[in-house]
Amino acid sequence: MNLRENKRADRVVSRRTGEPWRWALFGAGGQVAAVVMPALVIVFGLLIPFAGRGDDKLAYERFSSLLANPVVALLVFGGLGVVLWHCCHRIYHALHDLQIEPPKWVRTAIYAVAVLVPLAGWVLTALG
Amino acid sequence: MSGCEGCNCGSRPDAAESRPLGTKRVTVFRYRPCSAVEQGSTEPRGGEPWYDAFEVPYDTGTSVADALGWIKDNRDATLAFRVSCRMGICGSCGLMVNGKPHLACETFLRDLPDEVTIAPLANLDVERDLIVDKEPFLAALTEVKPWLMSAANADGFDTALSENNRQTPAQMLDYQQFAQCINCLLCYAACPQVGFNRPFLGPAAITVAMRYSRDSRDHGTAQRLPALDAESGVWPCTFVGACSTVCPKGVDPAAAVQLAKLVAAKARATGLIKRKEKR
Repeated sequence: MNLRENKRADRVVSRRTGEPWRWALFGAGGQVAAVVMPALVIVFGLLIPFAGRGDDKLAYERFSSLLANPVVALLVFGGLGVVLWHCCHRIYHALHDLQIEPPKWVRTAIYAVAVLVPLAGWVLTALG
Repeated sequence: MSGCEGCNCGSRPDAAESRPLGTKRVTVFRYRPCSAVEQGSTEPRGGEPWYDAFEVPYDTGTSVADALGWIKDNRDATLAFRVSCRMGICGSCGLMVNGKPHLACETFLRDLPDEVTIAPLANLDVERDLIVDKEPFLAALTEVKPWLMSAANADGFDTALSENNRQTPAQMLDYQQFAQCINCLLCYAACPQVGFNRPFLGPAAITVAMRYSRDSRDHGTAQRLPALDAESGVWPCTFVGACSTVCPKGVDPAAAVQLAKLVAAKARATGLIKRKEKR
């Protein structure tokens, strides 16, 4: 087989991977971090406490009691979870960019952080 | 006679004559594969690359392509490079100028430092001197089926003019930017993933796939998906974005690759739903 044929054979790698799912969550996390979070920070971090919009004295109590609802907590930790997934996915691909090819368990561990941390947060909030 | 007939270029004092600005030291990458050096040949050496330096005179209009032509005409006729249209549309003359991918015809000696190093496009195999092997790219391009496919005749061209092939300006804008690609492969030279991962489809091939899949007249996305949603398809891209930085035509290949990822991920999700419905 000459070099050219060999390269053509290289090109036809049609194996599908789980990457679309990982990338879709990564994209969702990016949207939450870039679009949703800045809006939440402006409203709840700046406008309510500093611009006198809304009743800031009761804001903390109201929101912390809202978080006691497991469904609300699931949404909050789900939102934070996809952002963490975004970070973990980027870290894993940055390893590839740095030409570090870690063993498979490292990838599992990196993505496990993104799944287990928000899960633990939600369980602790729901129990507490 | 001054100037051309019907044109006023002769009336401008500096238009016809070029103003010499001096010389620059142009160092050129040279390479002969072992197989090209025959017994008793006068070719200097084979198999190992080397560099040759030339003092090249230049004026305000001397491009890197002109400089290479001057070297070939006046100093070393064995220098091999590709140049065709000299106006940034054919995509033949891509090479590395001082380590960055450029079109030779659009890069001028006047804008470069006194020492200029010219090398073949990075990440691609060199055939001879500045000439790279474009075959792997052409194979990738063929794989994404770069033509309009009609719903009826998904494998071939649809040349029939029909009402369905009319397009609004907005529909044209969906793909027009990606249609500006000239296949010069500067994006392949800039993309670190092309260097790391040889079977990667690459920025230009994915851009061309999106040029057709975003066209309202095309129905071929399903046919392109096996190539795009493969391990070697769109997924090796980690959004470094260097492809868009170096593109000489203002195409945004990085955006095309992200759009292709979205198309592939959506198709995977709808495929899952359809499979469940069948059960």
